[in-house]
Amino acid sequence: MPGESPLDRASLRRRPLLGGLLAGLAAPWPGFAAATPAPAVDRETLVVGVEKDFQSLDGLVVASGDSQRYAWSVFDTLSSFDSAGHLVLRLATDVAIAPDRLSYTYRLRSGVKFHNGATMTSRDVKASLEYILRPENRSSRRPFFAPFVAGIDTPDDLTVVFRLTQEDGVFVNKIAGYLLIAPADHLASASAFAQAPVSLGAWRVKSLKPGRALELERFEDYWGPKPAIRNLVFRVIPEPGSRVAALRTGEIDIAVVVPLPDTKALRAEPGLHVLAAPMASPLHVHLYTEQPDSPLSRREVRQALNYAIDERAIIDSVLDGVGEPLATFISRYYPYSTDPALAPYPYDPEKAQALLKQAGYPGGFATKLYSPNDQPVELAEAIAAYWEQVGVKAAIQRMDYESWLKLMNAHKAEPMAITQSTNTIYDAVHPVSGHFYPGGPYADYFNPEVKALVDDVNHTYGAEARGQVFQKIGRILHDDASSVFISELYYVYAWKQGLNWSPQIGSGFLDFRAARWA
Amino acid sequence: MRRLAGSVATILLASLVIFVLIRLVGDPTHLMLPPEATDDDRALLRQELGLDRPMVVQYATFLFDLLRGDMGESFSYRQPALPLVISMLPPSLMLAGAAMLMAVALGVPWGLLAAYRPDGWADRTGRVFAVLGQSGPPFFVGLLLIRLLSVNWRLLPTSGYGDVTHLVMPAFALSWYSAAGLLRLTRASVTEALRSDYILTARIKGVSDRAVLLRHALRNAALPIITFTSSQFGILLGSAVSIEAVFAWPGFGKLIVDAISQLDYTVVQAGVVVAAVLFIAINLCTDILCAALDPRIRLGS
Repeated sequence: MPGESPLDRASLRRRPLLGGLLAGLAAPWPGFAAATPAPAVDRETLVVGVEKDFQSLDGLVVASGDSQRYAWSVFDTLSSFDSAGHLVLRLATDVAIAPDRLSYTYRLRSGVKFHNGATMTSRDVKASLEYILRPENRSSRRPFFAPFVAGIDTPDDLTVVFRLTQEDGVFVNKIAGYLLIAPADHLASASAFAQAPVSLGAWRVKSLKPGRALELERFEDYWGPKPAIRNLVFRVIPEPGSRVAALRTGEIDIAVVVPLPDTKALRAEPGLHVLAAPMASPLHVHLYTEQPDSPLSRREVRQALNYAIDERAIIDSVLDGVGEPLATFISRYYPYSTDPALAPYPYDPEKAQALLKQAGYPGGFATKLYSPNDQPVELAEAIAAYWEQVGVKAAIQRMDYESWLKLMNAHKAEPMAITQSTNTIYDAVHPVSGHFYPGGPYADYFNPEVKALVDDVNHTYGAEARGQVFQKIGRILHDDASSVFISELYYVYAWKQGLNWSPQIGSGFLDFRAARWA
Repeated sequence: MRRLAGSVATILLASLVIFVLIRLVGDPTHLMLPPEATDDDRALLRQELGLDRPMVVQYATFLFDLLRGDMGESFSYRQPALPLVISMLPPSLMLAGAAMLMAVALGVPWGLLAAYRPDGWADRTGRVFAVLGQSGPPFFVGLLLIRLLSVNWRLLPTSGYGDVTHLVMPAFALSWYSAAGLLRLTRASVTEALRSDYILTARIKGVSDRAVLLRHALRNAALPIITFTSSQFGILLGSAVSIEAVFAWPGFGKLIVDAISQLDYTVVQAGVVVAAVLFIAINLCTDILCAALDPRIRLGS
C-alpha cells in the first residue's frame, strides 16, 4: 500500500502463529510467581541451562560452537583471552617469536597437574597438537594448523617450540583459541577421550548423561585461583521457552541463549540479571559480485542496497531490539580491527534510488535472497520489503541450514544470501580471508586492495599493527559495499541476581571460573 | 516362517531407504569442518569416514557389520551408534507407555460413558474434548502445562528426566491427541455394538446395564480400540520429538532428529533399524492380543 512502511507489513508477518503463541506464553500472566533468587541447589553449585546436547567432550576435535560451553571449564590452554578478547598467558609463562617468524617458543608453568594427577610437560603439548593434526581424529581444528606446522620440538620438559612452514600472523591467537592441552597418555583412544576427557581445567568431568546433563566437579589441584563453585552442572534444555521457565522457577541459575522475544519481559522481572552480549558475529547479506552482467557487480547498486535498509528499524522489529547497526564486515567487538569513526550506512531510500539510476537500473531489478532457517524468516522478509520500496524485488529462498551451507561452500548461493561469521580467536583474519581473499571458502567478492592488505596481515604481528591493517580493510569493505551490512549479533543471558557472573564479550565461550554466589 | 522373512525384508528395505536418503540430504563434512577447510581437507575427512567409496560398497559393509551388531561409530558422539540409540529407548518407551496408559485411562471410560448416554454430560463434554484434543498440538499443551503447573503454581518441575514428577506433564501432553482419538473411537464402536442384536437379546434376558456395557458391548468393540491403541503407540513414539524437546526428555526421537540435522549417518541408520524392529514387535504383540480376544483370528491364517 502507498505510504506504508516496509516494516509495517513485515511486522504483520514477523511472528507466525507459533511464535506469537510462544511469546504470549513467555509474558507474565496474572498470578505469575516471580523468579526464585536462591541457588537452584546450594551456594557451591551452579546449574546452567544450555540449548544443545553434549555429544562429544573432545574439545580438540569438535567445532568451537559445540565446545564453547565446556571448553574453558574442563580444559586449559597455553594462552587464552580475557573477558574482552585480549590475549593473556595461562599455562605458558612466556612466548618468544623467532626473528624469521617461523618458530614460536612457549615456556610452560611448572608443577601444573592434570585431572589424573600427572604433571604437565612439553610432551603433552606436543601430543595435543599432533592429535589435532592426525587426519583419523577428524579434528575441526586441523585446517587451521596443518598448512602451517612443520614440527614440534620439546627441548626440555617446560619448553615447547612450534616450527612453521610459512609465516602466520595469527598463530598465537590460534594457539590460544584452538590448542586445548590434554595428557599424552590419554589421547590414545579418541572415543574414550570424547566421553571422559582429562585436562587441566578448574573442573573435571563427573558424569556425562547424553540428552540430559553434564556434571563437573571442582578440581582441587587446579593450578589457578580456586573457583568458588564446587559443582558445575549443565542441564540440556533445548526448548528456549522451557529454559526460561526453568530459570523462573529457580530450577536453573543461568539460562543461556534466551530467545529474543523473551528479553524484554525478563528484564522487567525482579530477581534476574539479563544481558545481551555481542558475539563479534556480523549479520550481513553476502553478495556475489563477480558476474559481470549481474547488477551486484556495480558498486552503486551494492551501496543502494545498503542505503535502502533501515537497520535500526529491522533490529527493533525483527530482533526485538537486540542488535546494533553494522558499519562494515568486521565486528567492532574484536579488541582491535575496528575504526570507531566508521558509521553504518544511513537509511536513505532517495539516495538508493539515485544510485540505482546512476548504475543503469532506474526501475530496480529482480533478484533472489537465500535465507537459512537458523535465521528468522522475518529478517529476510523485512530486507526484501525495504528493497522493494526502491524497486529491487528479491524472491526469498528459504531453506534448511545444511542445504544452505552446502550451497555456500560450493559458491552457489548466488546472487545473495543472509549469513554471519563467528569468532573464536578474536582476530578478523579468518572471516575476512574466508569471504574476500581469492580461494577463500566464501569468497564471492574480490578487491585487489583487500587482497593486498590480507597478504600484508599474514605478515603483520601485534594487536596495534594488525588493527591498523584491518581498519583499512574495514573501510574499503564499507565504502565498496562488499556486503549489505545488517547488525552485530548478540546472545542473551539471564541469571539470578544473587550470582556474580558476567558473560564473555565477543564470543559464546562460557567462563565460570570467577562466578560466585553473593 | 513367512512372517519372519517378511519382517527381515522390511528391516532391510527400511535400512536401504534411509541409507540412500540420508546420503542424498548432504555431506556431513560441510558441518564437521570449519569454513576455512579446503576441498582437500574435506576429501581427507570423507576418506576417514569411509564415504569416498561407492555407495554399494558402503551399503554392503553396513550390512556385513549389521550382522555382527556393529552399526558404526556416531560422527557426533564418537561412540558406537547402536548402543547409543538403544540407551535412549527406555526413556522414550517410558514416555510413550505412560502417555498410552493416560490416553486409555481417559479416552476409553469417557467414550464408554458417552456411548451409554448419548447427549448426556459425558457425551457433550467428550465432544468438546475430542475437538480440542485433536486440534491442540501436544507441544503447545506442554508449554501451557509448564506455564500453569510449574511457573505459576510451582507444583511440578518444568522439565528434565528423573522421578515420576518429571513424567506427569510430558506424558499428559503427549497423551492429549491419542486420548481424544480413543474417546471418539470408543464412543463410535460401543454405540454400534449397543445397536446389535446380541445386545438386544442380552437386555431381553435381563442382563444388567453394567454387564451389557462392559462384558458384551465393550468386549465386542475392543478389537478396533486395541488396533488403534497399538498403532497410536508407534505414533506416540515417533511424535514424541516435540514433547522431548519441550520437556528436555532424553528420548530416542530427538536423538534421531538431531542426527538427521547433523547428518550423523550412523545414528540415523541405527535409529531407523531399531525403530523398524520395534514397530514389527508392536504389530506382533497386537496380533497376539487380538487373537486372544477373538477366537476367529488365528495367527498366520
